[in-house]
Amino acid sequence: MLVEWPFSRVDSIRGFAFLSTWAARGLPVVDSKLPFCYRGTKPREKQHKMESVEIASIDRTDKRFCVSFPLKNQSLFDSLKTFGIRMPLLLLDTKPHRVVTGFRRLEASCRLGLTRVPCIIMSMNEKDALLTAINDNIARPLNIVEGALALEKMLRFGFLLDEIYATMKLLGYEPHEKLLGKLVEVARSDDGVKEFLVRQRANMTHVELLLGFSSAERRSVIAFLGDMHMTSSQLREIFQLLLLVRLKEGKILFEEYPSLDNADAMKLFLKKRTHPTLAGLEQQLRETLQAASLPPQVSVKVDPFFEKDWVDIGIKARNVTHVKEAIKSLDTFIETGRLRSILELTKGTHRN
Amino acid sequence: MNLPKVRTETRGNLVRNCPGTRNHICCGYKTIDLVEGCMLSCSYCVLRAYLNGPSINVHDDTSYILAQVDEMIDAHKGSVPRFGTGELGDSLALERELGLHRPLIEFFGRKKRALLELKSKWASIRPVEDILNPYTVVSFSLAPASIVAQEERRTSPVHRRLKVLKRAQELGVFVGLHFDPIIMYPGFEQDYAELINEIARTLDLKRVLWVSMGLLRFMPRLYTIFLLEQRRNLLHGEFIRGEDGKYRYLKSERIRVYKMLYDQLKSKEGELFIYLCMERPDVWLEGTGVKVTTTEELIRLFDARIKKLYGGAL
Repeated sequence: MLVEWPFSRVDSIRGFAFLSTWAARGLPVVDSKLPFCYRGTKPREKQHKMESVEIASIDRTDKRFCVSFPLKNQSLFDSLKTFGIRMPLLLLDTKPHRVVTGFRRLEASCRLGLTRVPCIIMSMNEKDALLTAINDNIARPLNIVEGALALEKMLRFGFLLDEIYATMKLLGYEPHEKLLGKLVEVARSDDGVKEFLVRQRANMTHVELLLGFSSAERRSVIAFLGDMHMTSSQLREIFQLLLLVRLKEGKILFEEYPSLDNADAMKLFLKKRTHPTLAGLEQQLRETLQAASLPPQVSVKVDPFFEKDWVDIGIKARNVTHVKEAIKSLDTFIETGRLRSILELTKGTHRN
Repeated sequence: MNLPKVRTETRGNLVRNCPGTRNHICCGYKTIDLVEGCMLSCSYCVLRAYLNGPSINVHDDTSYILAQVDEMIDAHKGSVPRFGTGELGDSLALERELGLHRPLIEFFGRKKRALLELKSKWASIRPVEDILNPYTVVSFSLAPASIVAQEERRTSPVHRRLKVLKRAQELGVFVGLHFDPIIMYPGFEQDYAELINEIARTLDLKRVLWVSMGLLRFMPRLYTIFLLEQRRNLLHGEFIRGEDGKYRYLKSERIRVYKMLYDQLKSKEGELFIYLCMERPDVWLEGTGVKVTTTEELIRLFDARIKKLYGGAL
């Protein structure tokens, strides 16, 4: 099967204008005003055609242009199963073929048991191929690992720093050497680290903190946290607490830690190690409130860090009886000295 | 480290009221931003969170800056305005190279209505020695030698700072001492006690205009930096987020340390005027026994101190 497939068609579908589009349209491409990715390419007259290619003729292990992570994508798999491959893969005319774009489509095709996939085969140098791959993916929101992969590959392919910085801006990162260094480290991490970062929807702060651990520690941290669901701030705080434990205790004895299934319990556990005085104050507060057995309509709120030197006491009432009960319980709360004990905790003069 | 100095176009407000921090008592200081950035690169410096550039920005349009200072002094009523240039940089570290403070010092000497504080960790007043006048206060941040060696590595040793303070006193200038940041690390109590002894041996404490105390506090961005740089000294204590969002030592610890240092300093000279930098009223009371609840109250204490030492000269 051979189908005419001019590149301008691919571009208009994707909304991209990569170098081949310029070439296909016969536009002058050697122009200093053009973005760096267009410089040095020559106009090309050839019309590229879509053809059905045997998967066996494609080198699936060659990921030099791959900026997708992870490759397994259930939505794409389901879509291909229902609609088939609507968008051809882009391959280099090498033997075996190298994939430029369509790594995830190829992976899903293999899972579906397909033996042939629609492709466009073209010839271009490796730098152009990488830019094409990045351009093909950049329209969708790339996760932090994918952004890192794109930049690391640009670095490896010998792009100039200002070209890489321009791409960083496109990806939403500040063009900064230190930041680039960290992203490169992410790209070179093992798949366990990458999968964790994607699973947790990690941002740059998380990356920065995770890279603060040694490689061995990173593996332990990831194993310790497992598949626990965490908000962005919970993940940041847990990383910070673990780094603090390491700083204060010299190492993190994961093997001695209990297995905990929620982020708050984990934070509490780690905080007891890093903030023993604060944990002691919290414990005393909990015990005093428990002993007071105040009715549910009465609330006693203390600043979580015992900074504010006051407590908020609230009564929630639906009728007069509720108020009377609340006042009676508060009276006992005062008479037994429990309110005074709590107020002392907020004064900062209390000593363990 | 010799950071490049970039002369920046001088515009906007370079003379401002210290922004203070939410729910904490400010001393009502006024800042003059002659330079933005510092070559001393202390590990805990707040500038690491504020300023990102690899250079030091220099504002050297003297007439523009002096006009702003003049206007602010004239508009100021009811107390003696105190100005300082050490908010976004070190007051003395670049003086030999740039000479930015000379016109300011001379201006305050002529104006005779306000004080200019040169706050530094760089032990050299030689570039300005010949023009110092009573309206200039020479101040140094002080910390135990072990902290200077580990966290303030490009600054002058403490004994040299004290020597310069002594020299300033000999020249008839009042001096200021700043225990800020006070860092809690294993054995800090003993080190601070020795530092205070050394100060008392070196300086005439009756001619110390003010002493500030401020325990280490920092913005969240710096917390991550300290963790990644494994700053053991800086993260030794227990930190919580204060009402202003900054990391601070736990209140009970702050009170304990302030009280300890306050008592030690007062035991050397009962008349010393000691204030807390950016603290809560309850910490003021428990840590020093002084009831201060607002910035205005603290400014009145400053005025009383200035009046006592300057008499009618201000």
